[in-house]
Amino acid sequence: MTIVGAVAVPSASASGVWLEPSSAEQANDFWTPARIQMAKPLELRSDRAGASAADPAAIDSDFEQVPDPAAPGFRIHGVIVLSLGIFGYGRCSGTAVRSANKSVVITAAHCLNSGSISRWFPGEAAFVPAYRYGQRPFGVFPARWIDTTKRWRTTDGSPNYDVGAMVVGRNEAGELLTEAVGAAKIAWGLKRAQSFDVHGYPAEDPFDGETQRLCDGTQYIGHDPHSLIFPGPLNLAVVCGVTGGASGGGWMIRGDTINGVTSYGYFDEESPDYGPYFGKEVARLYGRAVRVK
Amino acid sequence: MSRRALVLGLLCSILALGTASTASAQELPLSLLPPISLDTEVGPPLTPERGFRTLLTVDAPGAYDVNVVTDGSAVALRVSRTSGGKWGTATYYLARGVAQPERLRATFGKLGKISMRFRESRHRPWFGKRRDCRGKSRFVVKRGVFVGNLRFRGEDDYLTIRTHRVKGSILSVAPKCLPGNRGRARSSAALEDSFTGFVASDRDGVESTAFGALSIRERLVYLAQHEENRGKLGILHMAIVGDRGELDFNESITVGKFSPGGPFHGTGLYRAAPDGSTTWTGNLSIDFPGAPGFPLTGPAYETFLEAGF
Repeated sequence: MTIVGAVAVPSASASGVWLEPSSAEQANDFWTPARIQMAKPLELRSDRAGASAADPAAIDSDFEQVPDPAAPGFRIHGVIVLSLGIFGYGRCSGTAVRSANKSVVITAAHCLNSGSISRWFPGEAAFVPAYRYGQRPFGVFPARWIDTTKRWRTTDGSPNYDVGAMVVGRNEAGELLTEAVGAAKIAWGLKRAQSFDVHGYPAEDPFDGETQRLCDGTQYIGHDPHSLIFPGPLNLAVVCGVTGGASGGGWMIRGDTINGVTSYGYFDEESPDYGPYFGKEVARLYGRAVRVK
Repeated sequence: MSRRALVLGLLCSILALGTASTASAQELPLSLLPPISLDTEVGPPLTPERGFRTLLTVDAPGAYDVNVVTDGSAVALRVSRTSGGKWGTATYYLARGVAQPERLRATFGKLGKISMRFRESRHRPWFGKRRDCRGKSRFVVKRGVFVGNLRFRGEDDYLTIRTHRVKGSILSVAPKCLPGNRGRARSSAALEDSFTGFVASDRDGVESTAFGALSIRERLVYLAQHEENRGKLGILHMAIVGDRGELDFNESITVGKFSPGGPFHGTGLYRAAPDGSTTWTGNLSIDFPGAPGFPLTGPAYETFLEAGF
């Protein structure tokens, strides 16, 4: 089932967390290039699945630099940055998705919540589409509301449910997100064997998080054997060579439809990269996000 | 998490538990998750998901022990073999299905399937208190029989099971337990001593193989692991050997020779060249249940050697 706009969205109950209101000006002033560079990648906890890049030299990545992240088709992807209080700043990747409120970003759940009912990352957060070497060509969109699949929180962070959503406010120019950059369609319930374009902003070696990268046309190769142990639909594996910071980056099919996000990998080998399957839980999450006014 | 850190972590945890025999194949972890952290102190209380573990034990022909266990959302048929507490091998056939405390249903691909229900015996449940859990009655064990159907035919017919009634138990775990304090503390201390750790690992897509060796305090542990998927069936092979076999390095630890002994066969040879390149060759292999003579060397392997003095 492919969804365009807000058509055929499943019913959804109240969920998610409203963040402290922040104006576009405040967000723009706060999320300076220096702060974005300081932000550390948020990674899936290592007791749930593989996570950190222990030996960057061993990485043989297909993650190629996008020549112009501000070009149509690429500018819907961006950096998600979060303030984590005394822990500094965290970062992930995200993708703008079509919705009636024109403000929905899809990312990984572990970028927003640590895998429990109450452990949200509630500080300042924002989406910076098409970020490139300090440039923010479409401005900074402050986050207003965040949510994850409910099963992510009720299963103690099963990686098979590692999908989150964010609703953002207007940028400094007064534009809504998808008015400014466009939006991806979103699909769920599709067969697993797809060809994915994996987007993201990897920030760990050998990358620096300063520009968007892309693995073009990576093929589904199966699932992580460990995925069987955790609740939820078996995840998806592709070969790309992402590192921390690319979490939440969109996996696009047919060039314009998001059907997965980066979740984790085992980085010191020729590891595949794993992302959750987009099933009914993702549909429900999307349903809640598009209803946010 | 890096595969070599996982393997070394597991090796350390095995040593920290005391002897290899305490980590026999009956107790091999279902997977290498979670790894122990090599430098972690005793942590704060964990509040894991309220869980259960169902276990049934099948009378199997030959030298194998066969159990069906639940782990999270998976049903695992575990075929294991041990020898005098010195080594153990196990193969887990992991499938999705119904993994409820009193109901097991799963299909192990072409190898078989299980559909069984629990009938509690008239004996009273056993309420226990685990050292690492807080409060009273932190876990409950119900004993009884599972009735229904269990059919399994291993690869190349190495094992055939057909049964309708087997003994089993259901362990319900309380929510508030502490992490494995003793193991972590001792493993941290152990690493302060001189040690040699070696891992060779290979990955082909989602399929991966790892061989590890750890020598510390005159103790020696070997471990091998292989993971693969066959459709929606996951197969995990594991083996542990304790205090057997040989491990020889030259003084500059640029050449190493690994001969673990049964259930391993042959020898693995590690060489590090002056330019930093390494090779992992030899005829080292292992007999996993259902995968005899599984090769553990080759040019595709990445190697990792760490020695403390």
